[in-house]
Amino acid sequence: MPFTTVENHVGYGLAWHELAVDKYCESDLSSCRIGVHGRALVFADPDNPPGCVSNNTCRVISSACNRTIDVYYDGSSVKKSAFNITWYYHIGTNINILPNFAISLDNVIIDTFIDRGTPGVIYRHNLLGNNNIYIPFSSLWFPYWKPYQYGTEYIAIAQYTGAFSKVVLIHCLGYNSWVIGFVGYLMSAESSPMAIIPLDYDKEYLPYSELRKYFSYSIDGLAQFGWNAHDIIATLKDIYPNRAWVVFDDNQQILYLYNLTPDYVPDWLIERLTPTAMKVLKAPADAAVAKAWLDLLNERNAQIPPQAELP
Amino acid sequence: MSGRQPAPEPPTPPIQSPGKKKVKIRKDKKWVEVDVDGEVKKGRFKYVKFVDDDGLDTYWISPE
Repeated sequence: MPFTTVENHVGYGLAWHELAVDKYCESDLSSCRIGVHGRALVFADPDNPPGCVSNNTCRVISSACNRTIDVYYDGSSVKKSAFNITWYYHIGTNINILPNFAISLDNVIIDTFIDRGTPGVIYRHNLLGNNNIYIPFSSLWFPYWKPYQYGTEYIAIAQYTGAFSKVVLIHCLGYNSWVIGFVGYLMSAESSPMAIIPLDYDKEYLPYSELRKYFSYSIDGLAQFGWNAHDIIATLKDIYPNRAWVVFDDNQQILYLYNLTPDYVPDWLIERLTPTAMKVLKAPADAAVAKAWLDLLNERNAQIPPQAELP
Repeated sequence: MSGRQPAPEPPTPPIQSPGKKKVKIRKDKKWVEVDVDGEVKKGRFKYVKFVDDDGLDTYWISPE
């Protein structure tokens, strides 16, 4: 399996900006030397750079919440998962609250405000919101998280382990606020086959635990990494002989169906995986088993239009 | 003896079953002709059904 590790960082402090911006803008638009409070390096918003826009009028940073600063990784178009990301920041700001720098995994925000978050904390406080997703194999932790007030400067290092196909850095700054610093990340990703078997963590904990020992698990019933397709098939046959499941071999581009036929495979899944072939390992002995798989898959991917009526 | 000519032998049956059609698919970097048992449409794609060498019911994406 191809395995990649990526390291990168995003810099802040790319432009000069005046703190007391609403009072001291000069008429010299070219220099935009303003104010008596000194200047500071700020994050240069490429769409809305700070500075004078007219006499006595200055533009400040007021980006909308959840603005995407950078896309760290996007494997969604090539159906690849990633599983580990460490990110860190060291920033200063002119406001007395820590600006929201968060990682969004598959459009679910994993906020560094989740203080020393663990899966238990995340679930207990429903910090992922009502996104109807399921992250049994995940961890979010802070080996070093030390916000301190000297100059309102903050440092954080956080790590997340779990399956995801897209990760972006987002932030939210209030009006007339600025930030200086950097945000970086280290991420690992691999391509691999996928097992598609939505499970209920509470009701099926023991078989789930066994499955987890073999390979990791999907956050949405789709994206998953593991060994190779036939190892996964053998494992699933052993643990879940009576369930419906699918294994996608992303090397051969073959979708293996167990207790399923193509009738039960939703069109959106075909559109997403575009398999060259589907092979029926075992036809469904009980249509209810196949239908349950389809219903759970659609339920956990409710943002995707469901399949049309079954034949 | 009636002297009648023996009935001609029936023609050799086709390799494919009646009603089956042959379709060429791209498999293992080669064009392979298979007897198709049916077709199924999934999303934008059409798959032809046949029994593959491994004995499994297989639905292969149609080149058409």
